[in-house]
Amino acid sequence: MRSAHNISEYRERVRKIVQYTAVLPDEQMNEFLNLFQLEVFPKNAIIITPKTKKNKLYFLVSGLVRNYYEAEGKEITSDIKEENSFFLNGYYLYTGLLNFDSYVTMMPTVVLSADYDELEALSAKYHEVEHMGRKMVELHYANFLISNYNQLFLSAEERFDVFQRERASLLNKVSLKYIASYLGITPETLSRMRSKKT
Amino acid sequence: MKKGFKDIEIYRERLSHYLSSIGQKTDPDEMKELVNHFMPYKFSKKEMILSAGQHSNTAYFVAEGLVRIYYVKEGKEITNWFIKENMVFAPTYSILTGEANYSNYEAIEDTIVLQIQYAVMESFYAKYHNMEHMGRKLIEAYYGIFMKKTFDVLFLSAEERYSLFIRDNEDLLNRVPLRYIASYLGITQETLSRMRAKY
Repeated sequence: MRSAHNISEYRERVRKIVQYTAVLPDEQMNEFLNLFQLEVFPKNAIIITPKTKKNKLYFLVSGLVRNYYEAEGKEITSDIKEENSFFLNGYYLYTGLLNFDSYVTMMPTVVLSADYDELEALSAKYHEVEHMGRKMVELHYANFLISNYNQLFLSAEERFDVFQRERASLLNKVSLKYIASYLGITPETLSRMRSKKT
Repeated sequence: MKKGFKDIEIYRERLSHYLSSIGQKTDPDEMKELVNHFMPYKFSKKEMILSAGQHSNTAYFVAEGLVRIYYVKEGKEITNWFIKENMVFAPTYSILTGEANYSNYEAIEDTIVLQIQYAVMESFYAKYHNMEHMGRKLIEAYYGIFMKKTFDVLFLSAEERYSLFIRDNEDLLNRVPLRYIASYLGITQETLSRMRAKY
């Protein structure tokens, strides 16, 4: 039976996105793209569980994925991944310690995933792939630093402004309690801010 | 040999040892070429190495001494990190985003650093595959340390953070004013004194 999913088309999307970071010779790009396999998840499926040692790089084709952890009995949403973005178990990969955060689908979700060891092997084989990997990690880290900066130095209102500017599409897709948690404010404060702005 | 830095070869040797431990597959000749581009600078105790509001592309290796990294929020200094000998630091926020750096880097002992422009490191990454790998591992390590610190504040009690700190940095208890250590741990100086007495 013909699959409803066209993996070549999805890999093509990966190619377009990573080309912003680095340009690879065709042969290397194809080897890179061929590492990505299709995975389909229903709503509320856990893609990355706490304390997982199996590692993959995920590319979100369609759907939404929430990254959260529990602290003091409360769930804290640290990020919401949308179409065309990458995610991985960075805590385990970069600290060598077991992660305590989860990645869970918020709606039926399609991803491409590549085994991290195979990506490392390809990076060891080709300098250009290693370069692209370094640039991708730098970008990922820069985003972490920016969100850390925003959390430290911006007021709740300013953080909401940034959110509206950069992630407006989420406002209609995601329950407000998750957005409030992501912004580090209560849902009530978020509602007040929203009504003030409109 | 540059005048005033009689131990520069020893410092570069230690830097190359550190970078090789991060990169693992590095070639000794390539490493020697890279560390020769790191230049020594001296900072006196209490001298600022880099201030908030400045743009910077410089990466540092502490050869001797001790550096405190802190930011100022609502008029208060918050100490984020202590970087002692044989450790590296860099204003990664400024380097990677192009924005002004928001932290202050202060020598809290007489300090000698080896420093390099990040662009020079990147030219080595472009030239040598193994160096590019080391460059990625360096960023990953930096990222991991930062993530761990963020989560330690959330998941560990003040006592646990203190015992972790003295496990890794017992020497700092005698080198750093207690108010900086208290700020680093996110506790008051009184709480820190009580913990010290207990342990």
